[in-house]
Amino acid sequence: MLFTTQIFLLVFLPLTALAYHGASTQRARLWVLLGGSLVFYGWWDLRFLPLLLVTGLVNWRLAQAYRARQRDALIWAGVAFDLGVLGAFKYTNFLAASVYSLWGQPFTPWPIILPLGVSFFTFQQISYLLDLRRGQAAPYGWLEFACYLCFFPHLIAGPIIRHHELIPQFTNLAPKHLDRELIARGLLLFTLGLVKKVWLADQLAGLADAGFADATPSTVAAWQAALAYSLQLYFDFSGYSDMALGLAGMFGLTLPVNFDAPYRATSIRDFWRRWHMTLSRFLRDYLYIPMGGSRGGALRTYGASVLTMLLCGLWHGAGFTFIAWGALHGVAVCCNRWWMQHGRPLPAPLAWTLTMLFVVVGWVLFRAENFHVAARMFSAMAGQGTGVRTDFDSWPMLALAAAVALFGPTNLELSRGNGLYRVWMAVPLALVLLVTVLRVGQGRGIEFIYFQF
Amino acid sequence: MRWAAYIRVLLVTASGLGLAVYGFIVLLDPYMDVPFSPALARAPVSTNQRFAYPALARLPRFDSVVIGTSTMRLLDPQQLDAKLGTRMVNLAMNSATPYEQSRLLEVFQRHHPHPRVVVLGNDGSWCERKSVPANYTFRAFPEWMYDDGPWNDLLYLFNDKALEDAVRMAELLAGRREAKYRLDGYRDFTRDFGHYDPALVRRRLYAGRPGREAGHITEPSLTRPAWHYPWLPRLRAVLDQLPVATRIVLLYPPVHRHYLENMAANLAECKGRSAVLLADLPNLVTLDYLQVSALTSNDKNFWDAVHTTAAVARLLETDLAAVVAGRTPPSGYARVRVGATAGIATQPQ
Repeated sequence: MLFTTQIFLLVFLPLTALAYHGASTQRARLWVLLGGSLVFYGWWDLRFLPLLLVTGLVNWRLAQAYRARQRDALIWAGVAFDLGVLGAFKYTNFLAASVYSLWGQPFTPWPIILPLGVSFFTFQQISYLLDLRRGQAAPYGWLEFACYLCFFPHLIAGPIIRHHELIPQFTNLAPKHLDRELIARGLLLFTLGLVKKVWLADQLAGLADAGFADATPSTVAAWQAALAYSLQLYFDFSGYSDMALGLAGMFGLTLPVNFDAPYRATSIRDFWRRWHMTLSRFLRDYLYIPMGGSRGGALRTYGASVLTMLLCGLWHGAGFTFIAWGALHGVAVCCNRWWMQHGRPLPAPLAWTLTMLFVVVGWVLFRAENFHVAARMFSAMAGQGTGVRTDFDSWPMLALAAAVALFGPTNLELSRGNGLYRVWMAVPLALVLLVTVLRVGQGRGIEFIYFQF
Repeated sequence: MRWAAYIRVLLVTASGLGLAVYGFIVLLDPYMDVPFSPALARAPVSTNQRFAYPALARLPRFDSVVIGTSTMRLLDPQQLDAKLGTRMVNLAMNSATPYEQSRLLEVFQRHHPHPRVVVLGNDGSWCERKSVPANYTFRAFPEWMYDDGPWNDLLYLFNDKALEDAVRMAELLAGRREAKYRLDGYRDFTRDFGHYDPALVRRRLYAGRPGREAGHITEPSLTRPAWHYPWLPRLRAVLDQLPVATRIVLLYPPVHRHYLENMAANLAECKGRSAVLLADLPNLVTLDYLQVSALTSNDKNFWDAVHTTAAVARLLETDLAAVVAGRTPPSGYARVRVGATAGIATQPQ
């Protein structure tokens, strides 16, 4: 089930919220959350429900066993199991295609469907097991752990939540208690996220798709497509994250922030502190720091940075373009670090321009189906465009989206401030919500980009 | 902050307005598919024929149908009825894929199990050679309208497109708007093109390239066995559903000679394959204008490469009436083929 469908907005969400707030005990509320989350996930494809539950059960049982015996092998077995699940579904075809290609053989991909959210829920379970080994995780009951794993707002596209950020909140779910402030803020944040997705991201999708599909893009069209995709990706994913945080608020829960105006970043490291923050945090805590981080000398630091970003690229997609994109960012992070240590800080406007130029060019590699398409786009962007097509009509849309991304208050700022909570303001907000739900009803929305990861 | 009041106002306003909007849409019934909407003098108002035509396909008043793309749209059911004594509906849709055309024909046939005449246009749309051709265009295609259950349609009407069409319907009922299409599906879309300007038409036709003398072959042939036509089995399956008593006309509508240059070889092979595939259908007659002729060579017969003038449509209607009656089409521009495949070239020409 997608957030941007009427079955979710008009049926699932109201029914689940009513059942949840009407539940008479804390455990009943958790059962409502778990049941609702399983319906939410199973709606997409019932066959993958057992995968979700079995991976959860295996990790939870291993955690129980580790607490009893304190044997590291149990933790590593769990991590291997999670990576195995991720690898089997996400990377099998990629690896097989690479091997076939090495032998010069044609390869027809095997019919493996990528379960929605597998990259997210396996990472969350890995983080739990590793935290347990570090002595940073408390013992949790099955119901609490399952709710943490399956909680529908974050289940299929994050934020990547650490157990201690959500599970302790479950103990505060007092029966009949309504945190109206959290619900009101959640409603506003959810609506703003929905607006971002439907009225910005989806409107930019056509422009980006047309540019990347154009066999002979002009220089202007290639830049248009690159900018459109950069903005679409931001509004799509941050819109989803806003909706996830807003939904959690409607159930009296808070989730970690995932975006902080990343296109205002003035360095690439600053960018990664603002973009998909929960993934950056995960990679830092479970890859970069264990590899030595910044404590093992310059060479080791640079190596850890590049390797972390390489794996970040691979996490996003099973393809060499993603790996190249990750490597590119890894090198950029290293350059950034070196410059900060040896160079003079650049003036902010210049730093921002260079950063955004790099990010936008990087997104071309991220979006392109293969290196051929990426090369075609890069060539056109470098002034070698051969086509003549230029969609001037879309420039106001691009300008609006860019202005929102660069200058507007973020949805989170709006929802956390108090400026939009006068009672009369609920009327225009209701109108915006209604108009957006009506647009969603056309059923022509575009899937969230991060679902494919 | 008055959080409770804020939440209440937000939810009550959104749901109250939402219910009002939905009630308005259902009451106006813009696609004429709500089973309990009040009886009003409705007519098609949606600009997307894929939404407007399923209701027409269900109307019991018709006994014959035209299916195809925009190249078939100028066939006027009133003219055809006068010549054939039929009760024709023209359900040809702009840029319709064969899948969309066949889905609409299925609806018509479910509600008219014994049609008298079915005219199916093939301007090359059925001759696509992609291994996996697209079922849809960029235009929305409401699959939910193409089944026989009207009640499920209610789940799909709560959207801004339906609201916009409901407003159009209200304007139509108030006499402040014309129907987008007649109730028999017809609309002379060339009216929207304005004054006929031969110089402009020539620019459209040749797009800066000089016209060349046509030497290309568009007669049916069977010379390229490797070519695959994924839509043709569906064509056969669709026609197989029609009773033997139904007169089927497979009509290759005229397109401008200049445009034929790009599609001649493909068309020739596709026509040959179709002829073989459909040879044993006793009730099928093929009326083929899609070839080099005085009709397709005269710029003045066209608005653009694929759309003829209304005068050509009248000519086609007369020819159609003749072949349905078993006579030779009087225009002399069409090749008529009935059943047999003899004479189809099997060697490259």
